Formats: sequence, C-alpha cells, structure tokens
Amino acid sequence: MSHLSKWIIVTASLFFFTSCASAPEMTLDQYLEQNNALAISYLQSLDDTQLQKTLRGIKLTDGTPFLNDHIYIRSSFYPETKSHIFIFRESETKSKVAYIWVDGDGKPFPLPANCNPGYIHSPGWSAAVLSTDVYTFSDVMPGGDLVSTHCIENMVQK
Amino acid sequence: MANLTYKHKSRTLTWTGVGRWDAVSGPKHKLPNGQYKIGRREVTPYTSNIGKAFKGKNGKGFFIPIFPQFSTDRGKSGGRLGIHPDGAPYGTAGCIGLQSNSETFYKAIAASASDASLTLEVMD
Repeated sequence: MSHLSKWIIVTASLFFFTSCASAPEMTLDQYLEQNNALAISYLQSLDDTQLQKTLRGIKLTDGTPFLNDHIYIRSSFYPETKSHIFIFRESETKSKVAYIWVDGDGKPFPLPANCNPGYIHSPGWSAAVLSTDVYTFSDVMPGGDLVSTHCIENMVQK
Repeated sequence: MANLTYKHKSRTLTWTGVGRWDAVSGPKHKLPNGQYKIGRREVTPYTSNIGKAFKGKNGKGFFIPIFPQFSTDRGKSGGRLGIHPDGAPYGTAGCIGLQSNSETFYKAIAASASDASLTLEVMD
C-alpha cells in the first residue's frame, strides 16, 4: 500500500471518528417525539387488572425509568375534549402524579390553577414534560406533549 | 429599557453591564417575544437537589421564574416560565436554558438586591 493510500485511509478514519464524536446530541424536540409515543403506548397498555398494583414501568430512550414503582390509581378519558388522564401514586414519596395528553382533534385541557407547586426544588412540580423540563402552557395542548402534574387535587375537567 | 435581553436568533442572554451567556429557548415551544418580570424573590438555591432538566454540567442548577407582562397562554396558571441551566437533552419547552457558565449568571442574580426590579425583554 502506498504512503498516499495510507494517508487517505488514516485521514478518512480520523474524519469519520471526529464527526461521530462531535455529532450533536439529541434535542428536546427529538427526545419528546420519541418518548411521548413510547410513554403513551405504555399507558394505553395498562388494564384494570393492574389497578392498585405497583408497576415496573418502562425505560425511556435515555434509560430514564418511567413509572417504575408507581401504583396505578385510575385513568379517565373525557370524550368532549378527547383528554386522557392517568393517575398514579409514587411508592416512595406517596405523592400523586397525573399524566395527561389530548388527542390531535381534541380541545385544550386546562391545567390546575392556583396550585401551590412548591417548585423551589422542583420547578416541574406544577407541570412538566417527560424530560422534566417545565411545561410552559396553561393548557395541555391537543396533539402535543404528554404532560405530568402533581397538582391533581385542583384538577377540574371543564 | 429592560435589564436583560434574550435574542432568539443569536441565542444569547445579555445582562447590560454584567455579562452575556449562550442560551436556548425551544426550539419547538420557544419563549414568546415581549417583556417579562424576573421573580427575584423566588429564585431557588443553586443546588444539586433539583430536576435534571435544570442542572448544568457540574450537576448543580437553579430556577429563576419569569412572568410575562403581556397576554399569553404561557407561564400562567399551569405551566411556568423561567431561566435555568439547560440540562440534557438540548433545548427547553419554553424556558431560557443557559448553555454555559450558568454559575456566573446565578452569582449575578444572587448579588442583586432581593427586592430588585429586574426585567427581561425577549426578541427575535
């Protein structure tokens, strides 16, 4: 093999590995697109035999556990807004959390108002997306993200 | 004139006379343009005891609430808006996520008077 060929191979290899190493990380939008679908699919797979049982949950694409060690409390579907609500209790903290999404042809689902979120240490307590980033809309928007909230005592379906 | 300015196009947060930080909002649900008040009294501690979305590379983070001074469906009764380090994955669902040197931003906020009236303008 000539020196030129070796040089080309080495250079091409370096370029390939450098490109891989500097590939941009997944964006939040990409992360949510993948994991909203994954999590909603899991929620829809739950059935009545799992009510009041502790779930094993699933892992999201980055390995983050979703609903492991959560007790399945109840779920509701509101046809007038096409909103899906699943409520769980965290085994460790005993606090309740709701996961909500609205079908693409539904109507915005209002998140609880006047909730004391206690977000000093948990900004996403009032409403968050799967990455734990704060969900910044007042309503859960149709065809949008799966949203979690701990403010379920004030949750009123309008 | 606002004390702080965030520009979507250049992805920079500038605090006049204090500093400038690389930051991101969105991209999908970026922060609406307009004037915001900074919740100086509601700034969290700079802590590791905070969600991963709010932590910088050193594992510590904070959340500084901001309140829109115009009509919007963002950051009201349910969702919240704020400034925080941008933990992985890259981007935010509407907040301003600091990409680097977030500790210096926190120190600047913490050094301001607790009753300081700080404002933020968001623009293209």
